[in-house]
Amino acid sequence: MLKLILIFSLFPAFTLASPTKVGNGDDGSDLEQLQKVESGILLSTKNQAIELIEKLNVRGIKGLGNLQSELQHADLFVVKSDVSKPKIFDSGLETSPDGKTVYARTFAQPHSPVRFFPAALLLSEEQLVRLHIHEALHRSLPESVRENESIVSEITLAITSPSATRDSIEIVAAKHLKEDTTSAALEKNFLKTLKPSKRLLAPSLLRVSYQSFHLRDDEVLQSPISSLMTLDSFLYPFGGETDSLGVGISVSTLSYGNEQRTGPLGLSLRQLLNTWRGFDIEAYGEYSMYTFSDSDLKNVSQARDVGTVGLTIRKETDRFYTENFLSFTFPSEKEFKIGNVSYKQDYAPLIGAKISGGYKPGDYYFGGTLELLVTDGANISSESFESAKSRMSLTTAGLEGGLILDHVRLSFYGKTVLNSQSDRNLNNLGDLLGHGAGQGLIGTSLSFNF
Amino acid sequence: MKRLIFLSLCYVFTGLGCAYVNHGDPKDVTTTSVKTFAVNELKLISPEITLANDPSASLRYDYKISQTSRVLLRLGALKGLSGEILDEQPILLRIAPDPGAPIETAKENLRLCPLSKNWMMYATWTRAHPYNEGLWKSSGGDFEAFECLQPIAADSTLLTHEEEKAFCDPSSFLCFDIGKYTRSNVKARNINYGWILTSNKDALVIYGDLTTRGPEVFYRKFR
Repeated sequence: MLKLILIFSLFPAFTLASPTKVGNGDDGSDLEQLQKVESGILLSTKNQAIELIEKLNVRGIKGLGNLQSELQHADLFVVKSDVSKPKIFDSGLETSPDGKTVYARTFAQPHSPVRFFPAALLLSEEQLVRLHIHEALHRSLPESVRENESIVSEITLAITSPSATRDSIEIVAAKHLKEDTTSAALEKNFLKTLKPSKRLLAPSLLRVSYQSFHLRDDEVLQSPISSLMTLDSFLYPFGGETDSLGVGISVSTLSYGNEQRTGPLGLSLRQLLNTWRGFDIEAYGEYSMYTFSDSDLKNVSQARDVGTVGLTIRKETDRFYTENFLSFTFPSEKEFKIGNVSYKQDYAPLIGAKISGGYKPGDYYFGGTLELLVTDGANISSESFESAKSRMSLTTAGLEGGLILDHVRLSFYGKTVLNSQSDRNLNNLGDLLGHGAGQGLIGTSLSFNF
Repeated sequence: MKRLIFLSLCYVFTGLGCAYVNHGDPKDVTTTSVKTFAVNELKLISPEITLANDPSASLRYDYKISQTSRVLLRLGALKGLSGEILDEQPILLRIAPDPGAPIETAKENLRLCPLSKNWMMYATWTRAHPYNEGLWKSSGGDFEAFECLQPIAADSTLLTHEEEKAFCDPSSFLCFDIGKYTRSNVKARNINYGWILTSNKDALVIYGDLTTRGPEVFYRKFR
């Protein structure tokens, strides 16, 4: 639908304005002179239209859910002249072939701009509000009806009527917007709900983070890994906006006693699956390698190669956020040697479930996390020693907060093991990069999203 | 003909069977051979060594033994070798004291005590290992003092044969008879928790596993 004519009377009589052939057949539509509307009555009436839609809670009416969004985000242009249409030179107004005045045009597709013709500037504010809503309906209604002028006009009138209520609009909408249940339509409607969130639109990140582990005295003696500095680079060069596939690299160094050692190297594949019903869903697989050399971390008991797959589900509103993490760490073995004795350590699978959520007042956010980790632990053996696996669950609770400035995020966080026992700590999990060490940690990170 | 073949086969297999089980008299050293193994697990524990994998606590040229410094030791392979150990022959463990001190002093003070808790090379003064239930009941290692062994005398009946005498040369080594422990624990119960070296009074130094005079185990098997 390329052409619209809105007649502002109580009797809707709309006529399509088809292109007029001029000269050699070129309709001349590309010769329009456009000027973007950035102030003035067109903008103020647009805001009035948005207020009206909000006031009537039109967003909740079936078939009209995208109307407000279309009103808010459409670019407005004023057409200085339209050479594609015959002019009434006496008045300078745009007219359709049947002689009616043209006030505005838009394409019947989501996110299309609206072009206003000079005649629109002669309309009253009330009429312009109707005009904005009418044009937005052409872009937001279901595809099967959006080009039907009589339906669009009837819904426009239902919304802009002085006696309009949510119920009265819903009745009119229900009359015309019958559900299209063909499989093609269902698929199209389903795909339309997959609007990429801000996170999906800018998934790549560079992040530097520092974590300091809380170790009890006996843990210091067993494994004095006190802090971890990590540089993450997650780039998403593949796929589209809603299904980008990324490759992540994490490089780290850690403090082991008084020494700095090369820490785990993490490689990951990350797939942003999509946004469904407002939830961002991401699947990932990570592989962390700890065994660089004997002088680094190879002979530390809990430093093993770790393979993990997981899923994150996140939803953000203007004020709140919540995120669930599910992860499965594959069993793995490592060998290390102390003195003349070789040991083999056999880690059982680890299942992790984490809930986080919080409040976002403005650019800040703060919230909490609760995590449950369950594993059968690790069996360690040599020709003369064997420590059997035993079921272990760790519960951690934490706080998080930070500042989000456009593409930059500064975060602070911490967590502690709640059910701490003498032999129960994060070291038992053998995943420094994923879960840390000791009884908990505090950390900070600075990331740049793009 | 078939009967003849059958009888021949019976004779051959019976003969092989007898030959297999009849190694000879285990008390007769002429039918046995000597095996010695260097003790491969040696770990110094002391209240001053707090780090579980402190590299200075293992693979040393010497080990100091005192009331606050002890050495955990074990031949890890002993469990696998226990099948060939003969009941009638001695099993010896020898220690080489540092020649800087009189060997008689070492003989008076040094004790070899069987451990009652399993341990690993991460052991410290307070822990047998860093994992579940890894704490020693008593700091410094779990053992019963009454089970501790004294070095055997130079004229012990265990040292009747040349190989044993040479192995336990009294001028250089202190030998312990670990036969009883090995048979009742390692062989019979499949337990090999190893030993701890302690000193009653004075501090003494023994050669470590980075030397050729480190602790060794001696036993006899059928040839």
